[in-house]
Amino acid sequence: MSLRHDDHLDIIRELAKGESAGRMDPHWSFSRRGFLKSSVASGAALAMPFSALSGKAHAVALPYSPDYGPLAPVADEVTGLPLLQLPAGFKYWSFGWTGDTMSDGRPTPGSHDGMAVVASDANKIVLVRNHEQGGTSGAFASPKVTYDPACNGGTTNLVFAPRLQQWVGAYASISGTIRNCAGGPTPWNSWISCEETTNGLHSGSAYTKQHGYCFDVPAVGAARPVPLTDMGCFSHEAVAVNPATGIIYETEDSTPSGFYRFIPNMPGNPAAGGRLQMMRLAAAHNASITLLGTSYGYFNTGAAGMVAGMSWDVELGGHRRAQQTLRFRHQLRWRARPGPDPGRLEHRARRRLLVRQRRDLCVLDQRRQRPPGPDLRLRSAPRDLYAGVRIERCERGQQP
Amino acid sequence: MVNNPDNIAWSPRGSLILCEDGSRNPQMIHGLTLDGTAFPFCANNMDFSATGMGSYTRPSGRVLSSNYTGSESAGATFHNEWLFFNIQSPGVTFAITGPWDNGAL
Repeated sequence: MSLRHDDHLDIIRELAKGESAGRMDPHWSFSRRGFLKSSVASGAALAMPFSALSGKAHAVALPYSPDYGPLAPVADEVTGLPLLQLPAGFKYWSFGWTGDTMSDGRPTPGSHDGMAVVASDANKIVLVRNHEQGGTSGAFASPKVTYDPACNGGTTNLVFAPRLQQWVGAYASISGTIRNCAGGPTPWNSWISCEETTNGLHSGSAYTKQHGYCFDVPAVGAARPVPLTDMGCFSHEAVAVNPATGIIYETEDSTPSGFYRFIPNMPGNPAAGGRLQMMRLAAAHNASITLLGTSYGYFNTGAAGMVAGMSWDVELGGHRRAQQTLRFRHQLRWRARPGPDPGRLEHRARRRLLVRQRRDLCVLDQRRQRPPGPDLRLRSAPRDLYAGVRIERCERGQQP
Repeated sequence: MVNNPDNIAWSPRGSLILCEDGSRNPQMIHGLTLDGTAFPFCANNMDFSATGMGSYTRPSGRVLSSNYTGSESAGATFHNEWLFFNIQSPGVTFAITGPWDNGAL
């Protein structure tokens, strides 16, 4: 039995309306109360998998698996063409070629990239797929789910029927973003899609919005094309959600770059905001970066001459309140509290806020500055704070 | 060895799938077991040039006549007995299944 020609439209319409969300399991079969049910995750936790890898002197690379056997061209079940080489016994179904018409009538975008299964039930598997397009030829989705109408990056949702061994359909889920490279699945039936850029109004007349953000794309229902600004504005790569705490870990594809964690105000709801922190290593400075005419030292693992087996301790700290963490917003105004030098200074960071950490200083990589305030003076802070800085954020017009 | 592994995914039997995003041709997907053994699992075979399988026209009318075997793989994700992944150029998604239990993935 297989799907009739237009069955896919009914399935896709139902998913797009979002009514079936409550009946689908998240990819990890993990309930919001925090009880881990997924066999994969629980098995991995029990087995402490990476302890085995760390004990090996070096990895062994085989020409092919002795169990699966050598690779050979295999015909695609859909087109009949030998698109892939696989071990004997494996079959595959191709789908969603760039240019193909999707269930919503739109052509499939290009540059397929990061993807994950985000929800499933007995009859279907829902995936969200990134399209790493960085042009300004216009969004490929409807205006309702478009962030910046000029930009042609975004995501599509795909549906597969495993029992029927066939693809059901696809539709555009979010667009108007730039270079959706990677991201990560969430326990709340969604995919967080990340822009690998910091372009915006300052970098070209085509853009109508600031970019460099994460977006939460649900398995069912319409996405909100609103950036998760508190997760940071930088060249994102991937994210990983800790299902037990809701904390989201983030990587950055830039040089130099940081490793971040986002602590949500409401676990499971990153749109409600939260705090962003960068990991600090317990190592002396070996590099510096000059911002606004001032040089700041930091530790750069690349400058340390990385060799296999090197490791650094991570500086740990408690979860302190506002003094130790920074909140990222699309438009940000900072005021430094009076320290040894009295007087307040204002600084507006419009774009990327990149944190470099020294023992007692937090470095802000400012891309634009508005008067008044020729400089941002930072007050030193006790070393036991995670971020090591005392910068207090004020809303526009607030007195500190 | 693996050439610039980029996207990774857990397999149901507790091994890792690694997508290559490097300069090797053809680009491949590798398995990595928990005891540190890496092996190729899938290779990009999409050569639509005259010296490959020849030109191919999609129902959309798009004509493919280049060699895409060096294009990166991405987005590998497992769900029970199904492995899904993408090849970025020409842009296509695959669903793979087979005798996973024979080996480590």
